[in-house]
Amino acid sequence: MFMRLVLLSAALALIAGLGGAEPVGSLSSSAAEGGGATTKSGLFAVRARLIYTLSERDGIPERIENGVLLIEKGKVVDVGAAISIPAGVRVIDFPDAVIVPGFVDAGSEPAASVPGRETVSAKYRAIDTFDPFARNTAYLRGGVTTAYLVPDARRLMSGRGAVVKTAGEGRQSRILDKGSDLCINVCATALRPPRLQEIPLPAYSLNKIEAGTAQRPTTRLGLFLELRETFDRAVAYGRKMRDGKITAETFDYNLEVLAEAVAEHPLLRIRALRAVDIEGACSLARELKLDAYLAGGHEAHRAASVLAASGMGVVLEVPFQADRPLDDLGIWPGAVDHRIETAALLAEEGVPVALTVPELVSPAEFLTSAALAVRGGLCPSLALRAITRTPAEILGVDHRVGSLEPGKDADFVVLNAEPFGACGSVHGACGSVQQVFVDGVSVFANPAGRDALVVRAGTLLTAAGAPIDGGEVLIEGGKIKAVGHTVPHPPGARIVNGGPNSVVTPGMIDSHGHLGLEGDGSTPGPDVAIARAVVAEQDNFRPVALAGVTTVLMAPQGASGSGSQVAAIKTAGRGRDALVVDELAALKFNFRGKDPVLGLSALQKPLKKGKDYDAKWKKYYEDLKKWEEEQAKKKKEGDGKKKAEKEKKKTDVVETVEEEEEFDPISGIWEGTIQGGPLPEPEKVILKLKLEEDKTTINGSAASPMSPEEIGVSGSLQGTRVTLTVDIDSPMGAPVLEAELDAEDHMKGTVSLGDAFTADFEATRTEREAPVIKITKGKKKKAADGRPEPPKFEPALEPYRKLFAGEIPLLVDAVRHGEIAAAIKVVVEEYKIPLVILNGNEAWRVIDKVAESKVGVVAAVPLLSRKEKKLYCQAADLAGRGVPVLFQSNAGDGARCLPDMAGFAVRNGMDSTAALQALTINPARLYHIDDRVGSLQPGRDGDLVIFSGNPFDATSRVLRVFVAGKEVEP
Amino acid sequence: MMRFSKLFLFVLIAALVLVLSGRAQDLNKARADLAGTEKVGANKIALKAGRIITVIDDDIAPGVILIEDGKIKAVGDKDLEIPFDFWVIDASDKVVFPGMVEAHTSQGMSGYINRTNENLPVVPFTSVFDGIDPSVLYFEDALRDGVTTILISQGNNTVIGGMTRIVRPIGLTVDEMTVKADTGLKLSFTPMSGQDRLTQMALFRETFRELAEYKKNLAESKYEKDLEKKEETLKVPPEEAAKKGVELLEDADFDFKHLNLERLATGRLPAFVWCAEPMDVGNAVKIAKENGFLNRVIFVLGNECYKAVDEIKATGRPVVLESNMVYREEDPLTGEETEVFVPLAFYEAAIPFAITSNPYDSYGARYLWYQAARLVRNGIPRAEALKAITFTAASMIGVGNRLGAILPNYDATLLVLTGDPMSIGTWVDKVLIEGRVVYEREKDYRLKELLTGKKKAEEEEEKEKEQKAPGEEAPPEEEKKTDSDAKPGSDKKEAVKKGEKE
Repeated sequence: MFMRLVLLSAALALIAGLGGAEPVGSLSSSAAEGGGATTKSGLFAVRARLIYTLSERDGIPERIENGVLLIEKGKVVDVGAAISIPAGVRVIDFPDAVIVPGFVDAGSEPAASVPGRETVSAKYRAIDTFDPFARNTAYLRGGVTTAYLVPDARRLMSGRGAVVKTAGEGRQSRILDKGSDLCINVCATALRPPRLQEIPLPAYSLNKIEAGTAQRPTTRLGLFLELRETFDRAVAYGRKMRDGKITAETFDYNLEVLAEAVAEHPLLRIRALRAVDIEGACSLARELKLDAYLAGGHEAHRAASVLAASGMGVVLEVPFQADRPLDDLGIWPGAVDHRIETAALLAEEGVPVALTVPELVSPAEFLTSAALAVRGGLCPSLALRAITRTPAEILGVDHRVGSLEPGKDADFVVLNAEPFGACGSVHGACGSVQQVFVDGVSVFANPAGRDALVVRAGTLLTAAGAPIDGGEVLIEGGKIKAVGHTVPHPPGARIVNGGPNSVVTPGMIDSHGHLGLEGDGSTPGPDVAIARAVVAEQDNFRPVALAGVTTVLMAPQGASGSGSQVAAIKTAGRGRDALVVDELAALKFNFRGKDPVLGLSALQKPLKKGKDYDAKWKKYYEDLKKWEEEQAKKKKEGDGKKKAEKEKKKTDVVETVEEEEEFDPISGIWEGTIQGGPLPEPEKVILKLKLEEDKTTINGSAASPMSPEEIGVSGSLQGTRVTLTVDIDSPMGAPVLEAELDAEDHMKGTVSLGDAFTADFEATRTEREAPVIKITKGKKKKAADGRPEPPKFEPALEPYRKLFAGEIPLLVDAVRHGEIAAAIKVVVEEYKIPLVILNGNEAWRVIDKVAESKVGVVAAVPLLSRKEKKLYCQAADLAGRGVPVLFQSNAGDGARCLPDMAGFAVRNGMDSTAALQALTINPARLYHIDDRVGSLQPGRDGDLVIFSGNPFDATSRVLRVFVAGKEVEP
Repeated sequence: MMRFSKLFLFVLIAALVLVLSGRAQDLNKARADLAGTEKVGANKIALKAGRIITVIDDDIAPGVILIEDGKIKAVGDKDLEIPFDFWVIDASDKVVFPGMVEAHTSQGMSGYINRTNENLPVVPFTSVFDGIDPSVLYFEDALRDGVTTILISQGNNTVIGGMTRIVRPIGLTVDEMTVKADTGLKLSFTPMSGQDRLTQMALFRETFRELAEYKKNLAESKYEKDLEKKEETLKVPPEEAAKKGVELLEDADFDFKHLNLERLATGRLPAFVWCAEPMDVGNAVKIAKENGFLNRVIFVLGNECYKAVDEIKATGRPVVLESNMVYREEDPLTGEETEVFVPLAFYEAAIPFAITSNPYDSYGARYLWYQAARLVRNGIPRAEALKAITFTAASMIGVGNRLGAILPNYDATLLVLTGDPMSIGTWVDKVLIEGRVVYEREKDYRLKELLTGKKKAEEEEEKEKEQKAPGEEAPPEEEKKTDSDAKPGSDKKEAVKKGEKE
């Protein structure tokens, strides 16, 4: 019956596995899959805890709780809280995450590693370096979906910039701006450009290669002078061009391009760091009557009023002092005053600020950089605007990116928390990037925090210690890493916030149930590993897990006379390894209805047998230990004596040989092979034989290269016929070797094992020296070298060894007080092994004894009974007296009611702490699985339940359940 | 006396060159054959083949090819009648295959010594004519490996490189070797060393803008001069004069700096466009489209460019692929490695592609036939793979009407192979170029030496060396080669004879 059950579950598991045993993933994984599968066409919805759309409402970013984004063909169709999702539309759910528009990095690193030759030139175009095939993981890690390409920063005018997306399909659709900005750098890096050399063609004596002309600027003074002059020249050249007065001699490509650029009224991007240069930049833009914005702006706070008056926006580089200190300012007054407060000071003056990382800092730090500006005093909502909408506006690409509004590109970032730990967050932690979408397609999923989970709740009931108010649990790789008021937040980790009223408990334990046995009523013997019935999660596991019961002590409904195994299994998990917590958690006995006096033997007999068996093994291990010690000692002595000993031994051997030399066809070492019969391939065997003095008795040993341990052999020699019996106990009897000495030093014959099999045997004597053999018939348990033999392995008694080692308890089903008392007497007092009473309906009658003997009691169902004609809740009573109480379902998926049963017990007078312990740490400890489950402590499995309130309040309910760090999906 | 010693020295050097360079008399003779003397009746050859792989049509087994005046006159099965005056080459146990075509290489320009590019970025006026060294061993190897048509181009380290040229691996001068001159300009959209894409692209734009400006001025003055000839005066504004003048312009009016560019910009020259990375393809297409030569582009691609297959497909232009045809990439997030067989991507997109060999590869990639076998191994049909080293390659470089297949009226540039071209045990037994047998394996002295191991020649060489003046060191190999090849062929032959006599 039981074997059928095992087979059935295996088959079920296989079917489940084929159909996808795992539910469609946790949220993050389903979203990742969804992202991959989502094509540009087709409507779908994204739901999140919080969406910042960056829509303008009095200059404050719109914040939508439980918002929905509707996306079609890579564009946002609609966004809001009260959006009805059309039927049949796929929904990607982020119940814990915050969605913000894809970040716009208006700074970005230079596109060129080698600057152009000319100090002022508009001919270089950053768009030429756009690589649509590159994987911009650094940008995506930082949540940056739109980046600015700067031609270079080492020439006064380095060319024209471009705005591109960092991911997405199609070269053209990713280019937001081909290059309308004219990039000007009025900073020290632009000083001292190289000489400009024109190589004449063909070069000869009259057409010499000259040294090249020097270029400005060499001083700060020259910066603006050069710019003004070049602009003037370009305007003049443009006039000439229009008049058609350009000849081959006057043709100047550089001026031609600049003239064309000036005619387009380009937007100027002026990179300036010092306050004085920033002021110069403002006046230059005013003079040229061109729109401009400032980049860099390290000292912009000193020129804030000038900037405000000019109406220029600022792409501000926030000093990245997060992972290293900045340069020393020293006492030199000319040092650049670069500080994180600048953004806040500019914002105060009303200057539009976009934030970016400084040169040489990876765009992966984009969000951290903006967080530094918040630290410098910038309001979080402005900071969010400064990395999304404001830079998009400054770069003139806000018609496509920078906010999540209908018609705009569906570029967004999934953060695990508020971007800057804004109002309402418990600990003010900054969000980090979990996933990035461009054009509605997932382009990046942060691998760092993929299996990290932080659960935050109003109260943590750890079950192993005092409750923690306002605490967090960190689960990494399925195990609890940390528990406390605050825990580390790995980047990209999923953060689940239960809310201020929520209560987190460890996953609960059903102390005696039949989940996974599919109603099988058989009573397997103690040799049947019941855990084998569990192969994969079955359909009825889910409701149990969702109710918060994550571990079940799986026991057969009855128990065999010599006990039945009980296993601890999880109610959610993929595959057998994840599901089975402990293959053997207890040994179950049925003492129900037995006579407390006459029936004692039902307990005593198997226990005695088990104890004997255990004793045999204990003795074996003791002997083995002793023997090993002796061997070690001998070896030591042997080493000490060395040569003298050796020589003495030699002479001994020689003596023996001399004695036996007369005539002896048997003594010596025989090398033989056994083949045929059931053997797949020939086996080698080495026989050491000695013919005793009576010339008929043979004693010796047999060994094979596979098992070098020597086994005794005895037999006789009749003429040329050799009969040997090998000292092996087998149910079929001992192997017998019959052979004929057909030649000198050679024998041939058969080996047979009772009637079971016969094989051919052939052996040749390799040495005639009679070996010294110490094996005698009486000493069976010792091998040739004296090593003790292990006792016979008996699967049915194996569980007892664990029992007597104190590793598992004896679970004894006892109802009446006599049975309970007898069980305690035999198990605890006589055999001194841990005992858990199952049911124990009348335990109250012997309550003192129960309390005194420290046994656990699995509360009987129903929980209420009558004691002296009054309603009585024994669980509450026992718990009150310090007896470890456990709860059982005694059912399959009926275990889903267990938390409610505990709540019922609380309402009937049980202490709620004790009730929680009865569901968590008590069974974990008594079944010795507390290293895996039962409490919220580092190192334990990441099994936890989030309740909306106190777990035993009638009004609270299970919000979410996690098993090994994975959420159980309804 | 003085004159005598000079002559002596000359003879000595020539003899030394001959001896040390492995006595390639046979080969040189073959090369000389093409240039000078002809065998009697050798202009009419009947090639009896065990199997003819025509590349374009079905195989013919057994078959006969009639060759007259260097051209294939007829191709037929064994029943094709052989006229009495045809010299019959019996290869009835062998396979005849068209000479293989290397569609783009920078080999043959003095090997390791000469650089394949100028320092200046824009040099459309240069030509590989000045760089090709007929004496480099590459050509000898090419012949031995069955490559009969080679397009030589400048290297990739350029912006606008010079003119390419198609050569055969025989002949003592570049002119003799030339199959077709001025076969296209080399352009590179991957930045040349020390330069960035910004500069690379700016130079392209500048060059073509300058050309337009130059052309405008040229047309204007041409128109003026034309009027002067007619003794009329200029009455129209300069723009109109330029417009009218353009029609009068001839190639002769352009100076050397602009002529080839003008030919490129008017679609009269093919462009070999090098792109090492997929991102360069977009830039190349843009510049080519803007300047009117997109329909003459032949893409020469780095492996990673398979990613830009859609962009290439849209242009409808053929591609030449790198010899290492596998692209490996590691995912930066997962560390997972992926491997792509590049030609497959182009085959699946139905883009005509040619494959190339690499003479510095120590393994199979130095043989074109092996490269073709790799295509088959990776899932490309055999017919397509064979075309990639013959007909497709010949077509894209503009000689598909005379090379790369065995068809009537095509050049009799054929390989006689001992077996199937893709079989590892196959040797090139004979090479015919334009109807002349220019390589015979049994006369391949160097190959024999390589295969037999110890060489008698070397011992003789040493003896001869000892006989020479003791103080005189043998000149390094490269030097002597240039010396010898600088001399006209006939002089060299005389020198050889004299050297042997002495």
